[in-house]
Amino acid sequence: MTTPILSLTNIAKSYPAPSGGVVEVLKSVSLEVEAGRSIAIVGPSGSGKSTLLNIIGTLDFPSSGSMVLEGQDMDRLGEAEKAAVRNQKIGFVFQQHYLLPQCNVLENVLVPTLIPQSKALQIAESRARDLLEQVGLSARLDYRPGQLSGGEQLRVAVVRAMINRPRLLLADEPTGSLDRAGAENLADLLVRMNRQQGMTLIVVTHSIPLAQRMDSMYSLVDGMLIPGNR
Amino acid sequence: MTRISLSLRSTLYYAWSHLSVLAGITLAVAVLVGALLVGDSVKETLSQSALLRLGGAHYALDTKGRYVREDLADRLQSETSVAMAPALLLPGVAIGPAAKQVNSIQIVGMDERFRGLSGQPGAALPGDGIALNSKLAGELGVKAGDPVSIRFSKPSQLPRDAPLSSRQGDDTVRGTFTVVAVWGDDQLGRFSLTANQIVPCNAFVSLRSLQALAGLDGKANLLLAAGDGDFDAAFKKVWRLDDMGLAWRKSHDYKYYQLESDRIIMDSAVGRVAEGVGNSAGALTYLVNSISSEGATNPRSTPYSFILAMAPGPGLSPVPPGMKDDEILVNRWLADQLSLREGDGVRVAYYEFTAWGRFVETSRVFKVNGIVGMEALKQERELAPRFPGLTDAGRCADWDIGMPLDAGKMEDKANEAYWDAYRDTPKAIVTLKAGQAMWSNRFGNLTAIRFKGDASCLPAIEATLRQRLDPPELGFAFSPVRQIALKAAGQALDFGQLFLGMSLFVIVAALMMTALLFSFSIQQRSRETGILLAVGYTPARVRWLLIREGLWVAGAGGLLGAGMGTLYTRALIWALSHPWRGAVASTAIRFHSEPLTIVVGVVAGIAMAMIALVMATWRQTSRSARELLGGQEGVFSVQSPVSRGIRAPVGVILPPLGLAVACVLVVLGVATPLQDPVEIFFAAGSLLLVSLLGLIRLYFIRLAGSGGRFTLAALGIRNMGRRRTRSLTVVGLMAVGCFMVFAVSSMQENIEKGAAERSSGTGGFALFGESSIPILADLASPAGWEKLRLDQEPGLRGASIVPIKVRDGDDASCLNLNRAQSPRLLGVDPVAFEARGAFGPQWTLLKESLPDGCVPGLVGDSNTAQWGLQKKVGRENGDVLLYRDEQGGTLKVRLVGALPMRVSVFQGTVLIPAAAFSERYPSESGARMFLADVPKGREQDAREGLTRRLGKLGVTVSGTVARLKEFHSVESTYLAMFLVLGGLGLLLGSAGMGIVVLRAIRERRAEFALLKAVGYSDQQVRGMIAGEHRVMVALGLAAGVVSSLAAMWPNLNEPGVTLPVATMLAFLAGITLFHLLWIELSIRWALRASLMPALRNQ
Repeated sequence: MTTPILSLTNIAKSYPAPSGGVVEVLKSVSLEVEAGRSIAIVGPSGSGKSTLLNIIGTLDFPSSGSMVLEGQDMDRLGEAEKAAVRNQKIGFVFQQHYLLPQCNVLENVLVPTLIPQSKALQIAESRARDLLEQVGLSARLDYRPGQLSGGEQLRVAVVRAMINRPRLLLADEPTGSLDRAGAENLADLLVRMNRQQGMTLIVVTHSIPLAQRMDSMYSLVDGMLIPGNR
Repeated sequence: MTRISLSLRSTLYYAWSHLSVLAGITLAVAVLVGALLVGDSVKETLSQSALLRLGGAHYALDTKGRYVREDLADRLQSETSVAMAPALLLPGVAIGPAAKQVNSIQIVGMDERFRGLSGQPGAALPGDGIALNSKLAGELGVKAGDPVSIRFSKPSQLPRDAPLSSRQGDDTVRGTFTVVAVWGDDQLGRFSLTANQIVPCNAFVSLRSLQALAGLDGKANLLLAAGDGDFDAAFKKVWRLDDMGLAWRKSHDYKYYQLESDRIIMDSAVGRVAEGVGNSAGALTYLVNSISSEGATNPRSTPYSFILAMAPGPGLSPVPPGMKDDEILVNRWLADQLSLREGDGVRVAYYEFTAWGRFVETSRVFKVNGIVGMEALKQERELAPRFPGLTDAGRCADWDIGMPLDAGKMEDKANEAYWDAYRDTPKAIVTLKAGQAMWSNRFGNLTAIRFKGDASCLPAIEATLRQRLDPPELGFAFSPVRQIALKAAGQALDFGQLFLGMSLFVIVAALMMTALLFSFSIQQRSRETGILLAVGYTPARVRWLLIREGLWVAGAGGLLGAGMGTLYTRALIWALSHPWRGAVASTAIRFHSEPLTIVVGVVAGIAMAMIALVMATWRQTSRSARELLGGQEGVFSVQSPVSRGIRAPVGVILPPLGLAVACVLVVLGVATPLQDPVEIFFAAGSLLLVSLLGLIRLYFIRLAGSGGRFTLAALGIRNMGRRRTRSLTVVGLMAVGCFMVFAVSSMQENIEKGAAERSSGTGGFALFGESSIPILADLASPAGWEKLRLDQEPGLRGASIVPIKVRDGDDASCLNLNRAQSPRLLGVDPVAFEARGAFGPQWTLLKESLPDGCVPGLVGDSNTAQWGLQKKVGRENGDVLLYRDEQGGTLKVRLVGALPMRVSVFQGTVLIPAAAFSERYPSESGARMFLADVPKGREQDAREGLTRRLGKLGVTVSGTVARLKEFHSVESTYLAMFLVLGGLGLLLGSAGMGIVVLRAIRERRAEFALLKAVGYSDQQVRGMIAGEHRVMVALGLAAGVVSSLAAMWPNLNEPGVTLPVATMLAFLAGITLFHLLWIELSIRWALRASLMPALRNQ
């Protein structure tokens, strides 16, 4: 068995309750994901799916447990190092597109490349154009987010997440705000990116059809991650 | 795309949002730049005023009470190649049609050379023509063709209160002229040598006419140089004896020549130098009261006799070698008259001369050394000094010599016969040393110096005298008037800093609003900030992106603010010319801007704005990406700021501790007398303010938690804790603004309260008088009153006057914007004030001799010491002022103290003992200022009486309270300015309240929509919002008012202070109403559309 790209060991997350005590959102979650694989995490609302994804994406920190990404223990990293990890190794697709309204499509995709460690702008721009062509947005490069449909906006967000060739692509309810056709298109895109670009894909979703298109599926129930759909 | 282009793109995209930030920064920079430009404008106005005063004159020789030959200007011009202009400058009064009189004018006798200094040469004035400057023409109400008279004190070479000087009843001269022109400022209309921006009243006549009127043909007392050069060195080369008023008289046998001064009494410097030249001997002639036989069985006496005191000198002096200082030679007539023989005793009675021109009789006994025949003294008669009013008198009874003379003794027949036969032949002769011991005075100790030799010796003697005499020793020294004037203007009170201080609250309020508004815009983009963090931007990079946006806005605000700043400056200058003209003594300030000032203001404003923006950005970007992306507010974040705030000791312990300390300070201050209560109570008030704000913050923190009564109103109030910083900013602005305005309002002083007290700034005196022409009669003595006929005025019964000598100089009061370089000196009798207990106990300081040879001086009041002169006072370490005295020496005045009150009638002056004053400035005759004690209720009658009797001397009499009010108007104008600008800051704060309300409603639209959805009415929702913000207003005003009461406490009990309660209540009501209005308008605006769409977005 190859070394997993991502390894979660006994991840737990709790919050203090207003009336005292704690609320345990995640209890001892463990997961290993091999490189290039795609997994779906499903579960009811409030089960902690987004919390788990935020922890994996270093946007949040676990109350206990450890996370290793490409052999790097995330607990040992400072904030700047985590930011670098998010920039270089992780791509995040949210339910809301969070595109910058003041930038056009091409510029929004290039936002992650303005950090010095990123690739040279020309290389990045060439890659951006390629990716946008792949997702069918080559004719929309100068459009502002307000001029795009919901599906187009999400496709731009996906390309933005991929611009720095991340090893791990995280998607949090990516189809939540789309209609059926749009959801299918976005699902196709994610799967295609996973296959073609070889990046590991973790999707948090309510959508069973989307989840079924992943290599494996986990359910998050009562703070525990259980393989399969329950 | 680059990070820079991203930030620029963001700035432009959110331009509408940034517009309010831009407005805030523009306002802050405008106020900052505008305040600094007021300083530039005032400085430039004063500099221009200085140059207009002097025209092209760079240097000036102002001989004051002396007169030089007019052609000295030509000699100096030839020597230096610099154009010189002579003039005759005399103080006086002007009388226009209908006998309207203007006092304290400058009469300038000039010719075309003087006009040339203005750069606009013109023809000389006709002999009967007079030109007035605009101010004088306006005050007289005259125009070209109207008749105008001028009156001035008749110049006398011999100072008028010198012994043996003539003091005729009317010492004034009047001349009538026809107005030929009114000269503007650019024609030297405002000519003056004094550094003061207040335009003097000037009258210009032809030099010849004024010389003729004054009896000073060919003389001048002012030389102006239209350029730079070493004029003192040139003076030394070209001066002649007759320039100093020195002249030769020869003995009838031509065997010796006598050097004399037109001032009769020779300057000590001349005597010192001349006595050592060649074969010479000094002489001093004096008129004694009587010569009596001493020790005789039947003593006899002769009144009013001349005695000659001389050094021995063969062929020069009748004093035989070896004659002792206690011996006397008598002439034959005297010997016969008193039956004197050699060895007999003789008593000589004479007047000693004091500072106030008072005469004290004393006497000395001599032994007759010998008897001299009348024929032998014939030469002495020929060479006797020519005393005006005496030498040419026909009879003894006609003598006018300024000394008290007994009318009975004046009729002495024997003396009259002597006068007929022998005139001013000395009746006796003593040694020079004895004579100088008796009759030396501040004017000098010689009346002549004799040199043995014939006419061929004179050039050599003159050359030696010219070489050894230093003209500055006689007061002939050029001053760099242009340089001094520009220095005075340059060191003037910095109005830029003054207005900056007053506008500080406006600037701070604008910047706080800017920070608030910038925070709002960042909060609005929290998700954008979150996604940047999510894609790998560090918090620092995200901050920098946002700060860069702020930098673009700040830069634009700076540029706009620079332009708006000039408008603010113009508005302030308009105010300084109208409602606030008291602050600048009604000076017309002209707008002027220095590029560097604008740059400094813009850079400083941008820097301050950036600090505010950086602080706002830091707070907003300190949250996690998860919070930002989720749109979660800080209060619901993982670590509750409730517990974080309470755990922080600074925030929890200090406010109550500060409150306790403030209360203790107030109690202590009330219970015990403090030296500086104002400072301590102000500190207590400030501490109280900060502590109250800290407690309010804790209250907000507590509100953020749940619990307590659950009502709609409580729900609204609880919301104040959600955005603590925002709420505290608004409350804090109001509290600080109220505190400052109320505390400053309480400093308004009622100058009239307690003004009759001796300890007040009036010294308890009712009237203050100043005259253009010296009052020679002693205003403090019955004889002086009789001479001036003051005793005939019913209004002056029971009144008494304290006279004061004046040496003109720069006005160091608050009415002069220039920094006084050489403040006006007053010679006072400390005993006169001490006896009345007037002004305080510090008069003893003037009676002490200082070990370092300095003359002790008191500053006119504490404001003058602190602001006008900016010097420290103290017996040991007070600053020393340097003056040039009439002998060309340096008068050092140590500022040993100041009159204790802030404002007194002596503001702007330095007071020294009259004795020291007269010694250094002997030609400053009489008094030109006085204070009058008048029985209560008779002030108006007394004033009229004084004006009636002394008006001809150009005396202006005013109430002492009116004088104080004039000085105080400057301070009260400053207070009014501060209140207006502070009020503006509060108004700005009230606008900030409106913005906070608008913002709060926008953020909570969904919340309000929900309330409406569950059944609350519009009115109830509006009421909840309004109630929440009204509580903020109440908290802010309460904190400000309560803490200001502590700061105001000393002023509440100060006798002269009347609290402007009505004004303060009106102010409080106005600010409250403004805030409530903004709240109401903002609620109406924000809730004008339906709230329901907000629910659909959730």
